Amino acid sequence: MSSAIAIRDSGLIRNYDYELADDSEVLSRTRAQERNYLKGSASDWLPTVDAAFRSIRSECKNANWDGQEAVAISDKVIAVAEKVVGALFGLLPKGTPAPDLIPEPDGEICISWSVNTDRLLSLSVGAHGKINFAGQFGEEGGIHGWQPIDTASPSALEKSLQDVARHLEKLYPPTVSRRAT
Amino acid sequence: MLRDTWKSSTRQLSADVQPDEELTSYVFRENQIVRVTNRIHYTRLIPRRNPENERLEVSVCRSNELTEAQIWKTCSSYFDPFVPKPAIGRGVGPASAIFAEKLLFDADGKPYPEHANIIGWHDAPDKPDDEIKHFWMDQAQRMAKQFSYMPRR
Repeated sequence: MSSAIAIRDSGLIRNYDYELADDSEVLSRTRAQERNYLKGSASDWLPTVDAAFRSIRSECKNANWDGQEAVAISDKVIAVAEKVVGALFGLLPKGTPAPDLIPEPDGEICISWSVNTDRLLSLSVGAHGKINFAGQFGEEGGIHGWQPIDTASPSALEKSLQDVARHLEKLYPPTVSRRAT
Repeated sequence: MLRDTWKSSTRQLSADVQPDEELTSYVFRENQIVRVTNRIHYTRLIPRRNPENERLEVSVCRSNELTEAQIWKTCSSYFDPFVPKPAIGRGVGPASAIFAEKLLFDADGKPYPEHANIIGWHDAPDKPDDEIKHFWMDQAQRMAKQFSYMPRR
């Protein structure tokens, strides 16, 4: 199976550190990360996302759940999304904030992290064995693409998601407090 | 009656959407808001296929010349009756954010005069949507950061 990826700014690949950014931007980003760290660290992801999945399951199980002809969010899609979240939970450093989970009109589930308006990463998960992803990394540019995922086993899924986890670590680079967790 | 209300206003709605126009995207669910940024989540700006012609579209309201009361009257008439819960707020952003992504508008004025569709999305008939959706996500993410969230009053 093939995959596709697009990178708007090649600098994203070459250099993920923040030495080129001015001090105020670095400070702002660090504060946002710390705020997110305090809000919800990896150690409390699962209760948060479990509640979100329950809400999606109850509110979006029927077609037209948004009144605009949305496709129903199936149990299969929820199961895949739960596996993806679980695998990322295992891959990411402790202290990474919990994602937002948003039902999508096409019957998929968006798994999304936002640091600020310029720094975010989202995955769109369906029951078709692929994920679409897109991220904005401020001055470092953006990235988007799709890739197959293997949900046959937890280890296979973690392997599928390693690139995504690396992108997320760019969004939430290790800080002193996160390293200490 | 709604149409009469609009007719009585003094505004002039141009045939084409102008870059400096204000657009509204109604928000129905709490998780369509990014609280850390007070913007709408980009999934509100992801296109859907029009079942009649398969065109990718995002529905928006040209709210530039509408009063707050008119904006919510539109919502009450054309959106709220069809969703499980009434809208809780709206995303407000400039049309220039859409033009910046090389997207276009079809200001169809249906089912109400200020209605328009954002069109011109990347499409590839030889590929399934689940292999091109990331293009839409990328564009919608950049657009959504200019759509501030305003709660319904």
